[in-house]
Amino acid sequence: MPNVTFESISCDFRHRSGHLVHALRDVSLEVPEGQMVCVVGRSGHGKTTLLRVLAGLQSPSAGQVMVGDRRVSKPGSDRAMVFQQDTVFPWMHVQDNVEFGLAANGVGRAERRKIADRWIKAVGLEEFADSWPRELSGGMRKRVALAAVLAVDADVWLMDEPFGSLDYFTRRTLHDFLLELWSTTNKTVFFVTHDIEEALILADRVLLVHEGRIVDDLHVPLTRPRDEDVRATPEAVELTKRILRHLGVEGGRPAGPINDRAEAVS
Amino acid sequence: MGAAVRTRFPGLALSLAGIAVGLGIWKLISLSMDDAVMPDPLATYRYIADNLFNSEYLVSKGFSDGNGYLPHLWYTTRNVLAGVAAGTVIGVALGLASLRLKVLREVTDSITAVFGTAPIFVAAPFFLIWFGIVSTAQILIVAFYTTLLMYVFSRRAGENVPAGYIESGLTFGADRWLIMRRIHLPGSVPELAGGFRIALAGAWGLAGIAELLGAQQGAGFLIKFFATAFVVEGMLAMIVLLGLIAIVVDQLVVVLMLYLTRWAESGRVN
Repeated sequence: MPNVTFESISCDFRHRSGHLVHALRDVSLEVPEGQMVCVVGRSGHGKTTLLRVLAGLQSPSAGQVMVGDRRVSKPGSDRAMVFQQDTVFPWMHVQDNVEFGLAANGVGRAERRKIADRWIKAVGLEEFADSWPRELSGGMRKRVALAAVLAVDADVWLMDEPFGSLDYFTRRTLHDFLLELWSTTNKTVFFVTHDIEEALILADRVLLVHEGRIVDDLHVPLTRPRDEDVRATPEAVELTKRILRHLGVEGGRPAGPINDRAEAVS
Repeated sequence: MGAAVRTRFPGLALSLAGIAVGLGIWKLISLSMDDAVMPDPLATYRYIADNLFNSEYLVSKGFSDGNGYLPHLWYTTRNVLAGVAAGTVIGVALGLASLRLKVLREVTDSITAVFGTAPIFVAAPFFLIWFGIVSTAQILIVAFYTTLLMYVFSRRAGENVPAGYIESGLTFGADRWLIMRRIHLPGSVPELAGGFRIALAGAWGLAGIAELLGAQQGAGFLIKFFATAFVVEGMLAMIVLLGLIAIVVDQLVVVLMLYLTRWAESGRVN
């Protein structure tokens, strides 16, 4: 599996109001294969743009992104994405949702069925293969989205706050589930979140994005599984404080006014 | 099951009550007018029963088949269904394709802007002049009207499909054709359903008018024939029958649309 390399990526938008927003500024980064990277930052500071550029959904204003020796120029199933919003197609049964990416890549019907069955089972939804998405809970629909990503055997999994809308218990269940899948497949994962606890549970590495720049690149040396006790160790507490400082939170309270980039970019 | 019947019952009861009120008003009007000018509902029903399958009156007036009103009703129904089907296919294909193809969008937008402002009833005589008084002209009139309507509806419906679905499809490696076929089209169906019913409802009137203007058969043609001969029962009979067929077809469309949008109903596991 290939490394992911960002080479001097900048990304500018013209906002409705007319002023130029620098969503990403000269971002350079190398992520080796199999790494679980969490991208953390305040709303509107470029986390999602970073992911969209890697997905090929957003063209950078300058620089290039490489996946192995291939330059990213458009979306592709080698970089499948789980979105923040619910993007499981409501007009397709669970089975067809999971088969969609395979069909898009020309996999034959019988082979599609076989692969989809395997991943639907892996996400624990074999009894719901013929269900409509509306018949599933939010957590189950996220598992469908995961199964669809797994089915296309993408080299890189892109996750844009995928569990943000779920309750705490479901989120924690899905964290364990994601880690289990990741450990067995050893894929490279980019996981965008604004939740520090989520980042500490999941990440090998935390990238802190602020005003379009990567302002810190933290290795997370905590042992797995990262339960409450692990997350309460001095190492974990120090990491949390460091992330909070970058997010503009000091002494347990936000320092300064709310940055208006969130309004400007999103 | 029981609950479903109970839930549907008030709606059904109100529909029947509405029909009863309509018949009552018709009866009251007929009481105040001469039978030859305004026959009552019962007389109209008897006239339909006597002439639907075999009409001695039509035979006496030189109609060769003698099969009553049915062939004429079928002729109109067939033209409506063929025109609406053709117009829907063309309108939806153009509407959804124009979402992705800017050149097509600019061409079709200007065409719909020009023809959309011209009342279709004004355009109808041109079709009859160009294509003659055969069924092709009537089908084309309905298809033209349906195309314009479904183009506008499909454009709007396509634009309303959440961008997240399209982007999700792209990240799975789907090409434009697959996205059109498996995301834009099914995602547009709930909104297209409304446009289709409006097009269908308008198509009955349009086909009838096209037949009034020039046709050798059809419900509109018979209405014109009865009007010339001052056979008011015949006119009313054709209007009632055409209305009933339109209602039955509309209800079949409702059932079909409920099936096609069954994924959109509310309800969850938990």
